Amino acid sequence: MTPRTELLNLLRNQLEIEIKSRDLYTRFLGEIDKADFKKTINKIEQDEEKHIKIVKELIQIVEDYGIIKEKKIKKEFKEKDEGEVKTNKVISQANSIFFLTDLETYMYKIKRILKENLKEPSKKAVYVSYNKLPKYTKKMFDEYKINSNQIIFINCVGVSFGEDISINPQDLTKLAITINNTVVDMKNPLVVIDTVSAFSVYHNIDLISKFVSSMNDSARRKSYTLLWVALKSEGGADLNSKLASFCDTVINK
Amino acid sequence: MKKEKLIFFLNEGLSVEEIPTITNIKEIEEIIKKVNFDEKTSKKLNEGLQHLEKETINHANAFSSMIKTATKMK
Repeated sequence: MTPRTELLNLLRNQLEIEIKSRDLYTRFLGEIDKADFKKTINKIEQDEEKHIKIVKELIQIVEDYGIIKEKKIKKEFKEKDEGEVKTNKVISQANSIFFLTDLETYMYKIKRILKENLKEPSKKAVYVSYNKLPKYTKKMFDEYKINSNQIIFINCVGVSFGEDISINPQDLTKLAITINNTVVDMKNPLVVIDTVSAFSVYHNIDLISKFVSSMNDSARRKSYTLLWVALKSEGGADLNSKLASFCDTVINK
Repeated sequence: MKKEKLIFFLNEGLSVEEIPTITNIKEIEEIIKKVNFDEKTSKKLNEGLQHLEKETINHANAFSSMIKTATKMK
């Protein structure tokens, strides 16, 4: 695939995402009755309408553009990012990693980490989706050619999805037991917590700290690797600073 | 509407904004960096994407904030 085709595919995918988002929010507006929420969602729905127009314009720009120097680009694509190599090395050597990142790029980075970690078909991972619906995560992994069969999904959004394990977000004890039971028959699995920042919706800093500390002990004893994904934010600075101190390694990127 | 259903909807909104939308924008940005567009075209593309990215982050933050409010509702 040429870079131009890849770019156009991504832009068309973006158009589809924007259209689906708008339609989803239109549905929400018909069902949600809380006035202040409706007002906010109505604004978001209008933004999505604008995004559809913008993405159509971007597609047109790329389609109308002349010849792109493809040989040079292909070579650059093959080169591996040095930062990615370092991150993967750190992950393979620690039991608990505090991965401090930003909202703009965190999922982009996670899928690369998982792809690298699951290169061998025998490797397994556990993916804890604390406040997001796994269907979106799974679709993205599929598009990125990550084999979802190598991943056990645990979701904490309070609704069951197929074979996924569903845990009440308020029940951290059950979450801990479930993670530890799930990794029992796996060899050095990676457990991704997406995201520990979201725990603060239901729990205070002390409780989250106890949970993280106790899980890190389990990871050491049972030989698995915990990747605590945390988002940088002013409001979360205290939590991030405290949780980072419980982990073997901190990756800040 | 029941609180649980409301929170589920808001989680779905957050998921859409944080997973496919932002991640795909990032992929597009990375590809654009590696393509030799002329300066004017590159600028136009990046301006459009930055606008999408900024508003998508605002949407994700708005959903997070609504989820926090909804969890405290009786």
